[in-house]
Amino acid sequence: MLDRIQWGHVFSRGLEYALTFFIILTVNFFLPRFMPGGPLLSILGSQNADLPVVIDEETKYKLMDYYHLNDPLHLQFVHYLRDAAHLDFGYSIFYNVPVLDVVLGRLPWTLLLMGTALLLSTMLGIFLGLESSWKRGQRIDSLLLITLPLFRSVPVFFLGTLLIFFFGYRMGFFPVSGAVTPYMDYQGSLSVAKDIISHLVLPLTCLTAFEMPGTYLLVRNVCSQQFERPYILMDIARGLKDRHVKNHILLNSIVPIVNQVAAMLGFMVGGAVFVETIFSYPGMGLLVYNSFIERDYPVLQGAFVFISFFVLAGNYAADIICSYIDGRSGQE
Amino acid sequence: MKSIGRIFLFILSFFIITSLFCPLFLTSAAAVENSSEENSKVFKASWGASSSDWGFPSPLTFYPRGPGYIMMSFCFDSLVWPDDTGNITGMLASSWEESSDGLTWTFHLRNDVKWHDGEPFKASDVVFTYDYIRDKAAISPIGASWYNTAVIESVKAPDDYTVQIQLNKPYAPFMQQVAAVIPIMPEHIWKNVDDPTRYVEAKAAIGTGPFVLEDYDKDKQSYKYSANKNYFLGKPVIDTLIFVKSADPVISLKVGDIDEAGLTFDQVQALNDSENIKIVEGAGYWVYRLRFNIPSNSILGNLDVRKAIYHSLDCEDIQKKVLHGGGITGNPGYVPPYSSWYNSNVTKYAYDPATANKILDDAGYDKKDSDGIRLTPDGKRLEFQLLYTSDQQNQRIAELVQSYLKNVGIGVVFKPGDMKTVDGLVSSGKFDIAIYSHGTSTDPARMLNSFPESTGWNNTEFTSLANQQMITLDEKERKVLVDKMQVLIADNVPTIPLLYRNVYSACDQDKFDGFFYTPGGVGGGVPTEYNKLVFIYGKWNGQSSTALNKNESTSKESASGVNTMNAPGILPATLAFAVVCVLYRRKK
Repeated sequence: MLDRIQWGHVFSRGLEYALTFFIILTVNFFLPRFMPGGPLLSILGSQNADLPVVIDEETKYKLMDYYHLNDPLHLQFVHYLRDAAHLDFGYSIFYNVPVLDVVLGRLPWTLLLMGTALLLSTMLGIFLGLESSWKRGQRIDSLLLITLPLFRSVPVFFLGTLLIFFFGYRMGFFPVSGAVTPYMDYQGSLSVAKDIISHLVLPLTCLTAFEMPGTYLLVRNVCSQQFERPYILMDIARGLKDRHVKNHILLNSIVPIVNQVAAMLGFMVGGAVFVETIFSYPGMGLLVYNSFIERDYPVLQGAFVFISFFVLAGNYAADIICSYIDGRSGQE
Repeated sequence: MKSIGRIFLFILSFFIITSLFCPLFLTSAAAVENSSEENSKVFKASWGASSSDWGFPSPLTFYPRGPGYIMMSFCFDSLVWPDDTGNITGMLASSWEESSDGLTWTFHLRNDVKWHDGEPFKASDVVFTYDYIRDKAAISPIGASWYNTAVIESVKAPDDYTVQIQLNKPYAPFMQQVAAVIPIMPEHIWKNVDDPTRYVEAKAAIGTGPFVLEDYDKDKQSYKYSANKNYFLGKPVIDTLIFVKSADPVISLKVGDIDEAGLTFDQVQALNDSENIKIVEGAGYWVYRLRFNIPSNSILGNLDVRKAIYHSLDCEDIQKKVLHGGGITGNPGYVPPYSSWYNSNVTKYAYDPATANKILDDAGYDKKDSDGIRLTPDGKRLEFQLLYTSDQQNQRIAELVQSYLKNVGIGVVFKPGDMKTVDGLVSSGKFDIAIYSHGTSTDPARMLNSFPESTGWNNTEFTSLANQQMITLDEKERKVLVDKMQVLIADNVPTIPLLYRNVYSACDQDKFDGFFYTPGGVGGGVPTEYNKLVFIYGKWNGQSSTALNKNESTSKESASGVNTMNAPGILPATLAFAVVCVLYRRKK
């Protein structure tokens, strides 16, 4: 399926991504440590604690020791890398359980939310973009061109609040927070699915509405360029049906689209943090947000590692798909 | 291509039709919901807008803030506990006495108490707990900050139902701060636990309390407790107590997703048209104050400058503009007026810009630059960095403080940050003025004694008064000492208390009634509506779930009818989807 040069490409790209991953690991380690307000402040209560805490030096030292905060930074870094290789990201300062437990509990929800949003926004974006470029200058095109970027320019939290207000509160169609109804008694797997989907609808709509215009604009632009190409004239001259011509156009513009979708993965993480926070959706975004507030370094690092891994893996996959579709991209 | 197109039109139509036809299906969808949990009295609460994850509710693993302690207190009892009047009532101890020198406390325990797993509760458990917390748990954040075992010399059990606690010095707030705070843990479970901070198995939540922990979900941030039917004060009036996270507690209350939530004053205002909702107001013991960098900033180290700043601020106005009436104005003595320790007879600093200007002129800051900002004798602008956490309220306070100080010629440069950043900068001394908001505790031992540390103001007279009031057992004598401390604070202005925030609880009274705020707080001073005795003294007004469902089908608009609308969107949506499918087939 892939010839020898392309295998080389797969390998060299893989190395690049591995290097990127390592840099991300490094940044993950150092960044939170350079911020003011150490984790000890978080544990021992800060100004906003409910009770002012007075703690003596000896106890403080014991605590620091307990969390290995007394070690020199480079030693902490070596420990961190070695443990990360074993998927050991330490204990959460907040939850007192291994970080892996915390992350694995949240990961499925994010994958569900982001995965469906990515799928939905890509398919909608491709479909609408193609339609729009097909009917360039017509009313439907201008309508889409005006309305879709609007969703993108409205801040996510505002869109989320609107959705909560109208569909959650005013009409009461969908629950406004969480991923399931806590402690509901389910009758069979159907009611489980029903509960999960109904909780998914609003955050999914919000995230899709935010991500889709990007794909739409790209698809519209890329496809519009194809119309001047001779093969389109040829298609039309041959009297092919519209959908065949559209298929041709789409096939010839698929590479930038796949790249765009992969790039969107990264942006989507940012969007997901907002969306999950607004809807209290128990995914990685909310976890990152809360851990940041609490300066729960181990969880922050663990979560970032997982997120970066998925984003890089997505991009890597896109690279390979592109080189498969378009032989040229393999040969630098 | 056409098939893809069809799918998208499906999805679009699906959304549109769902939106249009959903109301028709709502009632039937709602009635299907929640039909189980027969005859059980389920109560759902939420901590409100703030986070709702307070850690695993066990004595040494909860999140070391007030709510964390409260979530734990449902499962665990201490020897004594404050009741709805704020007086100490017996919990595991039915009676107690102290020796005349105040060093020996003898507790007589109840003999009919069982742990949640059925084991009998004995005096040896109390001895074990105190020793365990002092030896092993002292290094945990919770052991270090919540349980004051430093004053305890030894704990003995002369017989199975008597405990003697020996102190190493008299300690006035012993009952409120120690006996009513330390939760008694079962020896048979904890004796083999080496690392208490990482012991989060189900067994770790076994206590004697009114509720048994059924589930704590750290991912969904929810708690489920069931009533302890054999509780020694009587079975709780509800069967199941659930705490959930709510993105917007006001909406959740209105649609009935939750029955109770702790709210801010502004949120309470948004609820005022809901008749079934009862609001309970309480003393917040939560202060917003200006903190000065007294040790490092030579200008602010000058008492006259601090007094001038005080005179230039209209605290009353700030309170009204920031809390809209949901609090009270700060006073120079720091102790809030609703506290039994309040001394009203201290120096007052009225809003008086003229006086402030005069003090500043006299202090040598009498020249101004073109912006109207005063100049120091060496020609620099009299300007301070104002550090604050960038939430709405602190932001508003910062703006008001800036404009008031500008009036008297003091410049203010904003420096907002998130909570941890501000904490970090303040603790490392990198600030001029900071806006601080925090709980104040309710006992002078913690409320005032931390002053030298929390303000950087060192005063030997104050420190000796602080030490003295800790060992003064006579309440009246102690009050005299605490009064003097407040006079000293007011005279020296180590900090400016701007306002105190009240706390509010909103509860669906058609379902449950009886929330109260404990005077003086619980757990050593947490001002909360979730004193566990609420669920013993309170009144259940709702119906059981089964009856509720029957009721719903007849009355659509009842408040509790909306209650079960947890996942109604899907049934009609599926139907709508089917309709669209059929229509498309037809068209084809």
